[in-house]
Amino acid sequence: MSAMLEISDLYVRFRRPEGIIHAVNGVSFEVKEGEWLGLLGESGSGKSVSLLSLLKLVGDNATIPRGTALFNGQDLLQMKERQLRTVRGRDVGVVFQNLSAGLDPYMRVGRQIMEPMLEHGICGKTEAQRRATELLEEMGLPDPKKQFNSYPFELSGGMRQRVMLAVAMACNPKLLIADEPTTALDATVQTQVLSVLREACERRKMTTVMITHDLGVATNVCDRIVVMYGGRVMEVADVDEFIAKTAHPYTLGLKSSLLTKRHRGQPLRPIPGNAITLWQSPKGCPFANRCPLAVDRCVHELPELRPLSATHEVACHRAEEVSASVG
Amino acid sequence: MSGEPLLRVSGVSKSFRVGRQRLHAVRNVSFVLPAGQTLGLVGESGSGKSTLGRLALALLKSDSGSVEFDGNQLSSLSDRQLRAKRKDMQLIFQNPLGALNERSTVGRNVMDPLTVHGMGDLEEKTKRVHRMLERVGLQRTHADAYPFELSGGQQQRVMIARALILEPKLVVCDEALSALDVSVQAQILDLLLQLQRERHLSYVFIAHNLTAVSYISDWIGVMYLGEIVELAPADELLESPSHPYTKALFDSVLDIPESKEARSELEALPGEIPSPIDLPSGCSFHTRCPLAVEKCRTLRPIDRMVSPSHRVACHFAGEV
Repeated sequence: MSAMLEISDLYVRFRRPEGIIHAVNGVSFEVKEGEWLGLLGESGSGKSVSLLSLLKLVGDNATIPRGTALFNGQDLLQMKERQLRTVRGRDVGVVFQNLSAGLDPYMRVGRQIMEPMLEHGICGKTEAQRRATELLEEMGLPDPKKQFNSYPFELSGGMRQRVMLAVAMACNPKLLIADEPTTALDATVQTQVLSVLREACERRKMTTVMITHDLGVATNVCDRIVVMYGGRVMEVADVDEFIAKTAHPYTLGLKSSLLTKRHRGQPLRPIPGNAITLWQSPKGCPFANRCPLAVDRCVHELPELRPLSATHEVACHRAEEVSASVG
Repeated sequence: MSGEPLLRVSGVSKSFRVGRQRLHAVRNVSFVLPAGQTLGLVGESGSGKSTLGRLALALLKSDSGSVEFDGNQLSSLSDRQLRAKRKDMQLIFQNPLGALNERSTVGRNVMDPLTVHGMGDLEEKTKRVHRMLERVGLQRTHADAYPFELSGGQQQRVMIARALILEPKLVVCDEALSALDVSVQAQILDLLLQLQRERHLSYVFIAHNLTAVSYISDWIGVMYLGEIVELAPADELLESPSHPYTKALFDSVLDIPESKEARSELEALPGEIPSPIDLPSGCSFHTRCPLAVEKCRTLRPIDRMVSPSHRVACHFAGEV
């Protein structure tokens, strides 16, 4: 599989009144054509920023001092706003977590699905209307002709999220970025949305990046998982290796924090402490202050990603010991 | 249920007016919570979990039914008696920053309940606040900070400190973990369990996060459209769920699979949750239930006991 998106050595900073947040610090990974990539991390890990900053969807106080992001061979970071506008929404579709922010409350949902098609000149109004109704049906909304004319507030959370999927897919993008698309939803509704999303993407052979903090979601729908923490990539693995051979102490901590029925009656082993605020780019491993295995070297020397197998990379000085203790 | 009952909710209903219609938020709900134990309430948003939590604390007045707390019928208490009783019953919200007074320091926020109930002089109150902050894993120095200066997890610790400073018997945790990161959720859950053991606390733990509920609860009640459709000891409910909705709900939890081959099929419950304004006839779950027959469409199921402490509102409970 060739790379559809190749991010190299990306840095993203945010100016704040109190100082500068170093949100992303030298991140490199690729999104392969046709795959489902999971970008896994907690809030502040830089997972959303690494992708949304490329499309200038992160606010005016962001700067990108370094990095490249090749999308089909073209560097997104070198593009002028006009050029970027042809990419955003047409070649790359985005689904946001926040249901109320993603849709216009004053516009009928059908119209919102038509808009990207008209904006990018993909088809005329009648055709767009037909396609929008089709999309609503594909997303499993009951009575799509009627829903076409409803306003977002008239729909349930799950239905609104499926409308957002329809908007993101309206122009048949090559790449879909789904930023925590099911986080705000109930478990049953989450399953519904994920299943609709997976089918729609498979039908279109669409490449999908799922940004999530949920290990269950990532491991059940993604082919490959990139774990981020403190604005760095901690681990990259095929899902099978991720499930069986995790080799980063942070990923292991995340797994042991995940509650399951099996945990009943057993003590929890949460990761101690809190994530650091990135007022400066980390000198050592950003996880060092919470890591049970941290040694002196971890505080002073930034671990680089290095391969443990052809499909598994880890950024930890002690990865071999961790993986020996797990395997 | 075994053990001395602390909270006894009997046949409680609550509806709200929406324009000219009525929204039936909680319908004829009963449960008993023994002292020192946790009842987890699960269900989709709109199922009435939070309303039930507020009814149990007498923060909302029920239309019918009764709530007995610690031997007192709450509805028979005068306002003054009820206020005094509130010391023993506290609420922790999902959004700590919204629930804390952002213009007061953390210390003042935690001290406020003591002041409201006129407990101790400033020196004594300060001492208690410091002890409480340390107990929930913060430091004394945090007393001088403002809520916004803390992380989400720390803010939730402040909420817990404020809820527990009066040494209540019952705490309703309404989505207390939902706003937190996974690793922090585990920390807070751990803290809640430790505090329960130390202080013989009872929790009503409301969450749409089923795994957290599974972990912390002694009892689990499953709500659908304002009713408790299944109630059982947690182990039993997880082991042998008997209501089709309970099954669907817990099947939709995405756990880490054994391998890529063993992943979830993502089989979704069909359809949408009906409106609590326009309730279905018969069993309220029949519109989405894979087992529904004619009877379910017309006849409302009564509770059946599938074991001495396991009740299910389904015509087919125990037969499937």
